[in-house]
Amino acid sequence: MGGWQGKVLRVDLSAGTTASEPLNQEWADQYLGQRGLASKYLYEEMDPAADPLSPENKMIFATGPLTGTMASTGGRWSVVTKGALTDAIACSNSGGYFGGELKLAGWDMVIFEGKSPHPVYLMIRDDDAQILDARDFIWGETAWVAEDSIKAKHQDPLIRIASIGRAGEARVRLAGGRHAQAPAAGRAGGGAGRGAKNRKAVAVRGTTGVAVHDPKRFMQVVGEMRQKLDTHAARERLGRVGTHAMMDNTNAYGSLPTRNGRDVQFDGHDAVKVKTAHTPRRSDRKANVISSKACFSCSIGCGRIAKIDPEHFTVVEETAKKRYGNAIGGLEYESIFALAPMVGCSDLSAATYVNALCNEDGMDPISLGGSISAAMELFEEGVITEKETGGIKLNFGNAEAMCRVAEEAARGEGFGAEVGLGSKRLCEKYGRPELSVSVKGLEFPGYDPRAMQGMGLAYATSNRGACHMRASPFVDDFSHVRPDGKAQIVKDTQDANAGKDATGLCAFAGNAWDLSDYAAQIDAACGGGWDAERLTQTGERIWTLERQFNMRAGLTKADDTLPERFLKEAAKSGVAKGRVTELDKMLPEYYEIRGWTADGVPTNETLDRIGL
Amino acid sequence: MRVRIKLLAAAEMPPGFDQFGEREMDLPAGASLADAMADISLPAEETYTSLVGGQAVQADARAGHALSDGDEVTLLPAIQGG
Ligand code: SF4
Repeated sequence: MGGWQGKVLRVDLSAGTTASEPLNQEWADQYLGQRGLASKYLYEEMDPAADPLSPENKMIFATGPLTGTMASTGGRWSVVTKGALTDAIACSNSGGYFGGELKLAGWDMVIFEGKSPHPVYLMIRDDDAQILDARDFIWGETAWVAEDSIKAKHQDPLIRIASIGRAGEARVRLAGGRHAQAPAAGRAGGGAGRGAKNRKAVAVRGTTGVAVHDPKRFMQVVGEMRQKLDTHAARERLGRVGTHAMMDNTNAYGSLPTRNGRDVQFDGHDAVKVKTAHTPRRSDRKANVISSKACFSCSIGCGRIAKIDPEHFTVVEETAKKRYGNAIGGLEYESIFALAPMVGCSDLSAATYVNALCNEDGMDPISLGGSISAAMELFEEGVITEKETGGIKLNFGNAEAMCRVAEEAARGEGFGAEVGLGSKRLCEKYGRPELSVSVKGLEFPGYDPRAMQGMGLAYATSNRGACHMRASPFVDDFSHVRPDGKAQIVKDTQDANAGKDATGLCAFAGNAWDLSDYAAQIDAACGGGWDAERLTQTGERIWTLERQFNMRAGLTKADDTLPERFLKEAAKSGVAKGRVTELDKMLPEYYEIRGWTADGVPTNETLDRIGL
Repeated sequence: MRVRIKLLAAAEMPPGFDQFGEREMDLPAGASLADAMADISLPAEETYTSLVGGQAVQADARAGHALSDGDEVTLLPAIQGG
């Protein structure tokens, strides 16, 4: 039982009850924690065809066996549900302090089911879990206000909170969740799902510890791994310049999705690149980035704290926005890509402001940027006009327009409410579905698949829609632009990443650790003979189970594709100039390597081999 | 001949590079991309992508890729994720 608390908290929001039940240890051995274990529970407990915004959908908060331990980056946790944006299984992996606190309160997982008749929040103090009324308290408030209010009411500044903002309450489909000191937990519409359950927040305070299988070996292994991580060049880079540095790479290589994917390099890159974010500006002699921040037990600290230029229109316009002039969560690569090149805006402060709005009101900045960029292309093409946008001139590069639409989306009002549907529903509504740069309804992260063919295959086959964390073809993609060899790399790294996503450790540590390093820490914590091979097999089992969930939800081979633009319009510049994504070459090979039929269905032999 | 080297996404610049990650390098005629890279102290545990004039040159082709005067070489660490 080392690494596990052995307890699951089940919250029936319809009945207003909470109950403790033993963890299914057999499933934990087969699927490990976080993404793996929660996917298994979801698969077994709900009808995958259910409407994601109905009470039949479940939502699971899951830790891994290393969450809450001393292992470096051991604060990871997952939210697994059926996504409101994608209608597919959605797993969001998050950091911060919430997951560690939940584990230290004695819980491996929390399962939410049903729908509360009125807005509530869940308060967990170790064994004690209570559903409390959120009406006339935090319902209608931003996530920032909700967090401060809960801490004040319960008189404990150490409470950790996972909350939705106003966007989730308004069922804005691209809404995620958020929690203090960490990126939003939730792509694929998890925030809307929480809003649909009338569940505003989960607050937790934990005072126990996590017992491990072999304490002496555990201390030794995590010490060695911390040393290996701390002395690696990637840790230095992530700590000092953050993930934002990736944009130097993608822009030079020609894999930076720009203006809704029309271009692959951004002419305004200099104004929003990482060097600029670290260079003091004229107005207050401060840089955009003022410091860094780290999640629970992490020695990397890739998160950023930022300050908007005090002369920028977003903070001088009206007093209501003044709070954004303080220290706020800063930009990661994915948020700066989505809120600058993707929308054609070279305005670092505007991107920082919209990113803060996403944090405060609980929206996914990648999907928001990708949905605004789709709206901008609709506007540039004349499909929509100022009549639809409510007078907003939504051209590429108009930073003020981006900020206004983002503000409306956060509240589910005006044209922003349509943008909040996500780019797929928005573009379908206006008869131009091909302009949605998404897969399975989830907007692209910041890698153009014409220069990064492996990433193209990874997006197309990802179980949660376009995602850059499901596979890791980076090294090979940054070395050549041909499709050969990509299918194997994508399959192997999908399995490896699914395994890592079940541990409680951060994928970014994978810059320094290989899979056996993750497995060694699991083995010391849990026992049972964990090595790289078993972790890979577990990952393949998780991957295939997610696939089966999606098939039962009605998804088919037709959903394993990319927007037409990337298959037909050649890249205009960069290393892949003249190329499209050769998905037709990679996809059949990928299915074959996976042991799936030509229609993408796992064969019985494959299911037997991986124990499904 | 003289080539220009640009190092991207660096946390700290190796010797010879300015704060913008750029450096001029004098090399004998006929020097290869591998020769130029041998002169730069990059972290051994990382893989780097090399572009010459914006076009990718794969690691195993560097020794055979002769540089010309005025070439611009860009080096990108193949970092994962973001
Ligand atoms: S590397 Fe970054 S995201 Fe990962 S645990 Fe550390 S601070 Fe959090």
